[in-house]
Amino acid sequence: MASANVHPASEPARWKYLDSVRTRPGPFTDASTFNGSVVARAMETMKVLVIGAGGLGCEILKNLALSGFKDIHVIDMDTIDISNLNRQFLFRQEDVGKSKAEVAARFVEKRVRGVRITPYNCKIQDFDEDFYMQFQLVICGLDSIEARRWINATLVGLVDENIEDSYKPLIDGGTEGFKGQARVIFPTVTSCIECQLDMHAPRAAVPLCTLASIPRQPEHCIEWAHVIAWDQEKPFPQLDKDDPEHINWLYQKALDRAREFNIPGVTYSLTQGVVKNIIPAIASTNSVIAAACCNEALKIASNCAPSLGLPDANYMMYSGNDGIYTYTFRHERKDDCPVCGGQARDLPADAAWTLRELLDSLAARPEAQLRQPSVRTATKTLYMQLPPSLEEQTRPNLDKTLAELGLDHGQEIVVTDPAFATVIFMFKLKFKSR
Amino acid sequence: MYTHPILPENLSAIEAYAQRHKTPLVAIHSSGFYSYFQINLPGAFPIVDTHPDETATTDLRLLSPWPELTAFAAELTKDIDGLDDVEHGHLPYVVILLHYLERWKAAHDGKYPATYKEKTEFRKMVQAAARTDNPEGGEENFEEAAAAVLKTLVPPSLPSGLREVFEYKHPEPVEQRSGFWLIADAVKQFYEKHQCLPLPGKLPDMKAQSKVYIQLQNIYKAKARSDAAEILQIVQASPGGERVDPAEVDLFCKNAAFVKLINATGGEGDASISRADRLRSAAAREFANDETAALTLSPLSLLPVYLALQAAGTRAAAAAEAVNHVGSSAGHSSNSSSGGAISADEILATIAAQVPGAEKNERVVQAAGEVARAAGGELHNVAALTGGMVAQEVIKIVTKQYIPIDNTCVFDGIASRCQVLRL
Ligand SMILES: [Zn+2]
Repeated sequence: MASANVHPASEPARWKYLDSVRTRPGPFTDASTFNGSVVARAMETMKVLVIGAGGLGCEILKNLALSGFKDIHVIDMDTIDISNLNRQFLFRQEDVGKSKAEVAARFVEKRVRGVRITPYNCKIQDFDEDFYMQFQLVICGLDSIEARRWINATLVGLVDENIEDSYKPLIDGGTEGFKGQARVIFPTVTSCIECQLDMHAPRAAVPLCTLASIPRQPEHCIEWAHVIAWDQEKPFPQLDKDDPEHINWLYQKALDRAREFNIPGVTYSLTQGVVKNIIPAIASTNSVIAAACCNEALKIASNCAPSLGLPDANYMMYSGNDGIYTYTFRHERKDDCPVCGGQARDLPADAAWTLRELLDSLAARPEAQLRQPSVRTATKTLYMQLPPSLEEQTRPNLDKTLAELGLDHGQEIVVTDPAFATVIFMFKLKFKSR
Repeated sequence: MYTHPILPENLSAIEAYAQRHKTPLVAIHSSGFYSYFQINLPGAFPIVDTHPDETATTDLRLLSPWPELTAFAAELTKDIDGLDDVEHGHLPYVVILLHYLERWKAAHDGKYPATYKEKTEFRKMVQAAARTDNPEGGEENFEEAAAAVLKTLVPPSLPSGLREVFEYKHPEPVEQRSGFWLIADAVKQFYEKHQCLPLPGKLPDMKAQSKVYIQLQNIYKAKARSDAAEILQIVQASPGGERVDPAEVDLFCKNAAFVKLINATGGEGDASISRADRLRSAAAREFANDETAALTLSPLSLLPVYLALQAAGTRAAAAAEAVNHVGSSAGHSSNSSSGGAISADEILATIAAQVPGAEKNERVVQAAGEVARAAGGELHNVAALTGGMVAQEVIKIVTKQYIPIDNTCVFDGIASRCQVLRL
């Protein structure tokens, strides 16, 4: 095996080690898909899209450039904040305030000769399907579930059985403290991000009555300031979670509340953490997860070794809290996935619920997580968020029970949410047996 | 910290330095899709601040309540059936469980529910006590109480990590021991006297009125403080104890159940077992596990990856040394020649000398083939991933927080997974 020829890239010295692996088959290489003589050229011309130029994104861009990819595109709408500099290593003090995508692109282009990086300083939702159709591979390094779900739905939507080039493998990385995950999705073929949504259950919400009358934890006081006091007093027109003045207002309110109930532990940083739902980011975890993602990218692009997703495991879970532990497994595709499956998903409900309670449950259920749902049946509109006139017209339905609205056990409902414009979520009501 | 392959003379210089200065050593080897790193700590390495999962740390002492807690619960529940719905629906679950445990004991010769069957029976008793004639048709605090039965009704016991600390045979005399060991001795005495560990004192959130919750919180905190004070007293009475920081005692008491000793056998006893012997016994164990892996649904061992990498590293280092002896003045930069291609057969021959028989294992043969393909070269992603894990472990060792690996982590970039082995 080792005697097979090495096919050097254009700069043999620089890519010598990479070429000995990617252009020669190893014991695990699938001979039917591998052609060592074309790998270097194929990777040079392959268009790869990176979403996010933050903690993971910086690592991903650097890794791809040093793995032989030459035509890289990156989307990030954020500008550089001073607090990013501890781990987003492509940025310097003088870059604060500039576009993350642009600064990151320039830095890597300068550092790795021959690489072209095209930055887009905007939202992923600003582009249409034609834009996404030009890429052969998409890698996400995001901290938002919403954005992941959006790009996942878009890539699944691109798939056209008659066009081979319409299947865009999606590699997704995420980190939280010393934990993280890397997963590979072959849209419509393997389990997608929506299939796996319950792996990212939202934190249990604190009941409003606890916030309003019986707080016990410092977090309850902060949530009270955030949810109730802010609404009552409206100290500023709109809450800006990045404005220290706003956070300070919430902190002072929470502090007063905590004093009233004798609850210790409210601090400014806890306030900021609770309000922004901050996930602490650690540079070393970013390095591990981004590298795991780009390792999959190299394997997918070159076929020099089997990647995650085909045929077995598609998900690597990583934890560095207690030693180092990985769990690499196969997450099965779900037939009732609203994005890649065809069947309506069962939704537990109760005939005595109001429509509002049903909508609240859509927001809370780990496998749905829809915060601004509009609902209809095949024949009837139940509630629409937009336009305002229709919202007003359908609002009275919110306080009616499902029974009053004529909804029965087994009824199929269609849910849409402006955060996922292209996706139609189909649910089948499952009433509790009585 | 050093990377393989490394010239044997450089390695022995580094190892001699580390031993003299009691410095932790990290060896790193990355080649193609494979890597491993190995941490060598100078002696036993205790960690107090292990950051266990929040849910694991709940210790309510419901089966060994102290007088203040018992009195508080009895006071709140003395007329439990006469409470109005709001009061009844806001009894903290700790109080509910203590109340019904008393009732249970009265009906069962003063014994607590001990078996799984008894605990589920007890749970039914708690569930049945919830009021259902209210608008909600149930009570959240009673649901919390029922849900907590199996998790919290556990008699105090000594966790394995702490047991290892208690039983550790010190190579050095008492006077030279660190604060950690002095506190550990005091906690051991405390445990022998009270048959339980110092109370951590943390109360999880539960449905309750603010005032009642905070009272209960203070009862747990006060007990934790008095336990810690007792331990501090024992520490200060022991030789060298006067220099121990009380904050260190507090931290130990809060985390006592999760204290962990890494590299515990790395002391004198272990030195008699050679590295080569340890590798052979690890191989025997791992290959035996692989025989049944399909049945137990456990992943296959990554030891073959380690064997192939370190065999290639040994070969490469020997080759580089030979070049040096021929008279090359390459010196430290000689590892440029160490990347020279080493065949799968050469790798297998080296493995055969270290672990006889392993060279015939099919997965070892595959791993050797994969290492040979890399020809000593690193892939950027695998190196970055390994570097990230090394950085993480160094952070843990320097800050003495979380639990470092013990002692070798192998990464397989083809299957995208890791395994930690003690080698
Ligand atoms: Zn799906």
